[in-house]
Amino acid sequence: MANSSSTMDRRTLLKLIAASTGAGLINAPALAVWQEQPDLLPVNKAGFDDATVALITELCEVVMPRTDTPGAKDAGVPPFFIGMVRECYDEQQQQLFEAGFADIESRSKTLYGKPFATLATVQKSDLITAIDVEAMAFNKGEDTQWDGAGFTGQPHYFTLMKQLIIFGFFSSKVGGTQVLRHSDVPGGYYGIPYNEGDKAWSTVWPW
Amino acid sequence: MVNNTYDAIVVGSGISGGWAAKELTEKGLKVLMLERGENVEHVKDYTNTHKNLWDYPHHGRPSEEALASQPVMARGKGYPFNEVTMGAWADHKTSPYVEKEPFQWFRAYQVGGRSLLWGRQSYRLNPQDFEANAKEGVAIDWPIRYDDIAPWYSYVEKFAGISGNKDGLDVLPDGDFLPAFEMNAVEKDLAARLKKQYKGERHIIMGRTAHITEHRPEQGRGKCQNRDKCWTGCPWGGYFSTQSATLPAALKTGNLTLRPMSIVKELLYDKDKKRVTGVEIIDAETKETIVYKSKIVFLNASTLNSAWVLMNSARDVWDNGLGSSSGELGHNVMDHHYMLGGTADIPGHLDKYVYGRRPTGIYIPRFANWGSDKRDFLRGFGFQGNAVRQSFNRDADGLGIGATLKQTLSEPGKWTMSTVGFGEILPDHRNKVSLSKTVTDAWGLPVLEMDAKIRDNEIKMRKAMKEDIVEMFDSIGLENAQAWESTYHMGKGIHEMGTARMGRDPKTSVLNKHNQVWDAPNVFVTDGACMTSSSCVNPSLTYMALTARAADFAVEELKRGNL
Repeated sequence: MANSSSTMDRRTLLKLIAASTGAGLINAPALAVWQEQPDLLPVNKAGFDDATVALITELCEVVMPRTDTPGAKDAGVPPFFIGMVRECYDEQQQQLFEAGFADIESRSKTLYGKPFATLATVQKSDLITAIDVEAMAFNKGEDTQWDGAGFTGQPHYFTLMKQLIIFGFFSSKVGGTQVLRHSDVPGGYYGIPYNEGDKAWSTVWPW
Repeated sequence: MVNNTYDAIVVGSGISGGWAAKELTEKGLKVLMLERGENVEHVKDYTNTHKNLWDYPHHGRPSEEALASQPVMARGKGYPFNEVTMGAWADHKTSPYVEKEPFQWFRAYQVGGRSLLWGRQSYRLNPQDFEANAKEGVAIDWPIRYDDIAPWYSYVEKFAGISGNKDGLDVLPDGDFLPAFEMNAVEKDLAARLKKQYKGERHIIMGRTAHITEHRPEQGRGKCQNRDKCWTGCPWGGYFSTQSATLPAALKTGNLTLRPMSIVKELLYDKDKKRVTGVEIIDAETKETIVYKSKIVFLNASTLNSAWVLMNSARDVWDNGLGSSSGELGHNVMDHHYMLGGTADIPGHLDKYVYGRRPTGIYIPRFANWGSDKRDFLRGFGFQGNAVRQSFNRDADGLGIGATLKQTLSEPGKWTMSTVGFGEILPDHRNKVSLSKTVTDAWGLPVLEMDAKIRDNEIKMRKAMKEDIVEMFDSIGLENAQAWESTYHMGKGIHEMGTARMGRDPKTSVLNKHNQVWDAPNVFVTDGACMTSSSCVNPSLTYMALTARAADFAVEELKRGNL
């Protein structure tokens, strides 16, 4: 933003110009109306220890893996996920995320005797698949291993995680342009045929 | 010495203010247009318009910090408050208001106002809309009829550029349209089924939208590119805004002076002549007070702020301000009640998809209390909506994780129909805004206190809206039809109206049939404040038409020496 004294000087000048020419705009310097928003919180300032960062990174990739197209890591989802947890969720939801990370880590150690981030791909996938199924049951009100204690009214933690990974992935540049189809300036709107396997279009609003 | 005298002053630069400036300057008047916020230059200041979601730090979502900084706006996550548009809304800290009843007031304090951020749906009121108050004994009669405004609808439609079909429905009069956007194949199918099912009494039509669908080099506007980034400003000028349409026309005359950062403190009233002599403004930056003189004033500050300016004026004559002699100034607040609608799955059509991001949708015009349809409430409602294939942003329950999930979400899902209803709110004297006795804004001016809510008629209508949409969806073979509803408070429809209504009698209305303040005929109020009833259709086109009509009258009256 321009400092106020130079802003004022330019305003005064423009007013004088307008007055002397007797026409045109009395023109205030435009400040940005569609403001630049602050950068996302970087990973090293998010307050997660290395093990948790590693867990989140692998969690994102196991939900949205690289296949014949790029995956979560390629798309920068893990740092996005971490910044978003800190900046776009309220305090209780952040605690739910944290409790979820701890729960995943604890199950990994119980089942495989190792931290989640160091599991084989198939082990990570098996564990998260089980939690995904459990989350649906929990959200329907069934009794599950995750009992939601202390988080009344909140869904299973994995529901929040899965939604954020999906959103972060498909709204990323890699996801939007390499995994989905993107048209920056379509120019028109009309019907086209759909053949099985054709990709969906990227979206321009965050909902 | 700066020349502070003009033929006309226009307060506000949004949809109606832009029209007032255009009409008055084109008729040869020297016009000063005052805007309380910053300047926004067409194209140059549309700083987000070439961004995609991934260019925003939070991919478009508002942070908790941003939500906390705008506690009132935060109640409406999604549209309109998100990372893409958030800077374009007024700052609640410098411009607070008091909520005796919950009220969501979406203000855009910059040149262009909400014309840069509107939904662009553009419909004519129908003849019944102007007669219903009188027939039903509600509030007061409109002082004009459809025939009075019809030519002005045509006039503004031609210049603004409204795309739409001539659908031949008496409930929604046709206008002078540009070619409509295309209804997709699925919408066409549903439209045909609905028409058959309800024997031609209910319709799905293409939304009529203030987008040009043909290039207009003479206006410096290119046709809509179907980017669907309208709320970032359109560098093609594809949709109607002050910047794309009325402001360039007004500037071209050489008769316009635009002064941003100018908060109108009051209209200066000469009680002997019963005329306003000009306005006193506060420069928003320097806080300096300046007087501008003019023969006439067009008040286009938006419904609540136009009433607010009047309330702050001529207080030495009337305690509650200029236009308050009727006791109606600030009363009869209306909006369109919404935040409810229906969703359903559409079976089949999986061999079809669309190209492009159409910035509008379909419309289901009013059918309740129309023709043979009779209800236990007055008036009606319409639905906006569309049929789309699901994006990645769909319910991912049951889709698993990993490669399968990724593959599934990288392809479009089933076709779904979603609609949102907009219902008419009756004018009610009890619904009002007034000046707060205790709270002031950053410039020391008293702020508005909101005391308005929906009542029995609207509550009954909402129940019917939910039932009807599910019934219609079921009847045309859609699956899993469900109604949805979330909290609606007055203002949330962003169609606020009625605070300085037109009427036939100075004892019961603030404005006459030409939008003149009864107590100061050289003041014209032509934004939503003037509305005597609200209809259920999006109101901006009506403000445009009434503004052009009043401007024409004002200039004639000036020539006749009557003002």
